[in-house]
Amino acid sequence: MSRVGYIAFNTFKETVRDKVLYNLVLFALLMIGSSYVLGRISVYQEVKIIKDLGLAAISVFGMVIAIFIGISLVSKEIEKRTLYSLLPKPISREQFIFGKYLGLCLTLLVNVAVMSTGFYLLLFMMGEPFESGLFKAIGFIYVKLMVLVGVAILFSTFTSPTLAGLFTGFIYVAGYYSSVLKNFDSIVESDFVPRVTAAAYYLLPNFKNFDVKAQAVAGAPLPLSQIAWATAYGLAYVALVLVASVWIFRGRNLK
Amino acid sequence: MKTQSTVIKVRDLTKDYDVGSFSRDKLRALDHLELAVEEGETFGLIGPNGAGKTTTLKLLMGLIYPTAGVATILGKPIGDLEMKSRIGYLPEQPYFYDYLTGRELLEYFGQLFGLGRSERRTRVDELLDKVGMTASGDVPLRKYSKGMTQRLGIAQALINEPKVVFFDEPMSGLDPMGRREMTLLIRELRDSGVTVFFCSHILPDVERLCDRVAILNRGKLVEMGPLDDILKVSIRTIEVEIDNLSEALAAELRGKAREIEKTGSRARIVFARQEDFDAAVGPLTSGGARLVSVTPVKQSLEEHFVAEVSGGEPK
Amino acid sequence: MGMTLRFTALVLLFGAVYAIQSRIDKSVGPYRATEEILYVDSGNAMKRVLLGFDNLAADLYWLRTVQYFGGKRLQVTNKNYDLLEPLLNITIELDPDFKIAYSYGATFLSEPFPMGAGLPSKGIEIIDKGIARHPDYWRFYLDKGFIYFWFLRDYEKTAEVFLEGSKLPGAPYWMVATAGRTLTRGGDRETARHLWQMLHESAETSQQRDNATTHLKQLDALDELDVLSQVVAAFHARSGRYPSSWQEIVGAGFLKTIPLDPTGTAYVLNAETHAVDIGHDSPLAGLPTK
Repeated sequence: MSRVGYIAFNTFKETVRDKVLYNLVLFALLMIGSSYVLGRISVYQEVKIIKDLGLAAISVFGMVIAIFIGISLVSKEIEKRTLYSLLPKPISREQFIFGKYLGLCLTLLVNVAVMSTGFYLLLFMMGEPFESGLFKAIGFIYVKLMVLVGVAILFSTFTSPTLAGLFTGFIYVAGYYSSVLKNFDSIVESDFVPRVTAAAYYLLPNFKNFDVKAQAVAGAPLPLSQIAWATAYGLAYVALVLVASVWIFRGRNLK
Repeated sequence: MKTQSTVIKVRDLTKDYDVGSFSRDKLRALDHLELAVEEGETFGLIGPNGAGKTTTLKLLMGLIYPTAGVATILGKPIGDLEMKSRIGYLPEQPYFYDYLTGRELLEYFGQLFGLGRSERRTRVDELLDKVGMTASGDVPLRKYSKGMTQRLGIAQALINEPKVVFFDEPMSGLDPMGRREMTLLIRELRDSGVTVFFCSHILPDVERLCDRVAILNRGKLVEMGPLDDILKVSIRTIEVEIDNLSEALAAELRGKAREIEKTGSRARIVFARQEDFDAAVGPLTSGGARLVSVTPVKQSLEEHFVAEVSGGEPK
Repeated sequence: MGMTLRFTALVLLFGAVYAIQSRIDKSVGPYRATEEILYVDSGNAMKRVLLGFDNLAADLYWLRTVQYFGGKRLQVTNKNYDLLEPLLNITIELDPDFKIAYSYGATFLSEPFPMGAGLPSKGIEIIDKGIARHPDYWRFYLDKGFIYFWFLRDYEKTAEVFLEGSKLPGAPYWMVATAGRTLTRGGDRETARHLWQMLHESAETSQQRDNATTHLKQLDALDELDVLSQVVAAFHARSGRYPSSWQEIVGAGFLKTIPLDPTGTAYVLNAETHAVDIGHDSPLAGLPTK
């Protein structure tokens, strides 16, 4: 099991040194910083705008980073043939997938932490007290990103890096709309179609479960049960996606 | 023949690829390959491009799965984790992680082999030294030249002091100096009892190093056996050097010898067959000529190979 | 990992995902469900596009709304109030929790031109949307009551609203008292002063405080104007004619200096109508007419 750890740690090293990643995080910090300017001209709402913009920045850039490093996972390894020297080592393909996933989660954690620190620093400079609600919102963003990276890995096991990136982006969008699919029976007059769409609803990752930004900024409380169930959903979905990835990857002939 | 010291065993190994739209056709990259490699041997797998050499190695390393057939290494099935900890592999045109340094890569692989920290450190230093990369150990891999990458590739194949090593084109990317070092290294491995299995299309290297070879063409095994046996079949000519060849003698030999070349008092005569030479010995010596040297010229592996491969084209 | 094992694992995990999602959907309840039905409506259609950044977009709409008032409310430039109501509606549709939008939006809508759109009934509509969304938020009742009091002058309604609001958690102690006063005394100046003082006390932002202060000063100005009217009348009584300027009054000894309003701007004496008024360029211009 420590092999998974070694693979994770080296994946972390590899991705964290990527210059593009630095630029993305920098961008995010800039965006957070600029929210300060917007806040100044807002009248009555400086803090709300900063909070909203800050959370949005962390969420969007987190998503971009997740997709970007997610596709640099199995896809790139296969294209660049780094796997050729790795797989003959005494590791199993499962260990490879899990190790990669954990490594990416670690990279994501660092990036989100950096962006969050910038965010809280700005709030602190404005005299805002530490709000646990915001922290929870960021936590949820992170869980959402963990699910997204899992999806990226799934696509990476069988498509090229570009396609994997596109598909993952598509799933991100679909995951927000998925609730539309749920209630098709109220719109369509058939028996079959709503069943198909309902199945699709459960199959797609429902990112709305993690969307608590509005609540956090409005200062509304986040009940523990909501946190627990949403996290459980995230973990279950990640497990599902990883097992599927391992299954596909195991059968894969490397080119 | 199964003996306890058979380290690589391949039976009936076949690999088909789907080609064409909707995978209608199949390309057979490897056709029922059968071979066995004994402990301590240096075994060469040769063949033209597309013959199936790299396919064989990829199958052995578990990077691709066979359509049919079985292979074992050290008695264990392909993919067995314990067995993988005792082998080393150098892929063709290796590529590593851009953002790690050479040292970090070796440390990483050492970790995967379960080497302890201090043991790892020692091993890594040793290996970097052995492949002449100590100075570049801390340079990021994306800055490596082809030769440097190849050297690092060799190092990572040896990190665990393997019992069996698999090299795919080990000389590629190396300058003449590097090739010489690699040759010495393979000899060293052989001397310490390591089984070496490698593919190459640089036949002089194979000739120099291997105990046994297998020739592949278009996925099929054409010939396999000890190098000497393969080449013994094909003694090509006999070259004789003589002193004091008289004109009369030369004229007499002209019919029997393929070639006569005079340089001052020395003559070089090439006989096409052993029998021709045998027949000429009497007249030569009684004719006053003095035999300086007699050399049976074996067909080079290259020539043999070309003949084998271009001659009877297997379907 | 054999095929059957893998397959079972996948099925089980999918089952878990399905179960948890159902549980979540159930707990969020009917609100979620209605939201999910497709409609063609600008605020909600936009929500579909925004992928969870609705409240951020609401901020941006609010920014635009605020542009219509500039930094200081008295900078009168060409303000197009037609857009105010739709902008406000979109803002609160995008982010129904954006409480300030309801409060201030309603006020801006109710304020007479040039400081606002002069549509207090629309202001009430907006506040009612806020109340529908946040029925326990006492401040909305305060805002609503204030609109009835100050702009619509419906004192019965004012009392009713204040009374309702006073029952909500967090409501300030004086809401009941104000309800009572309004009912018995209507919109007299003292009640107004009392209300503004309470608003000043319970202001949450400096702008709210400043706003209350301004209005208090306006009331003070009204008091002062009453006194000045009496001074003019006294002058007339004494001298048989109306004064044509403050200097005359000062010269006659009725006042020590030219009268200034609480912001230090001179009051105006209209030589023809003999009326006193606040200076046109005073920050307090636009006095309520009581």
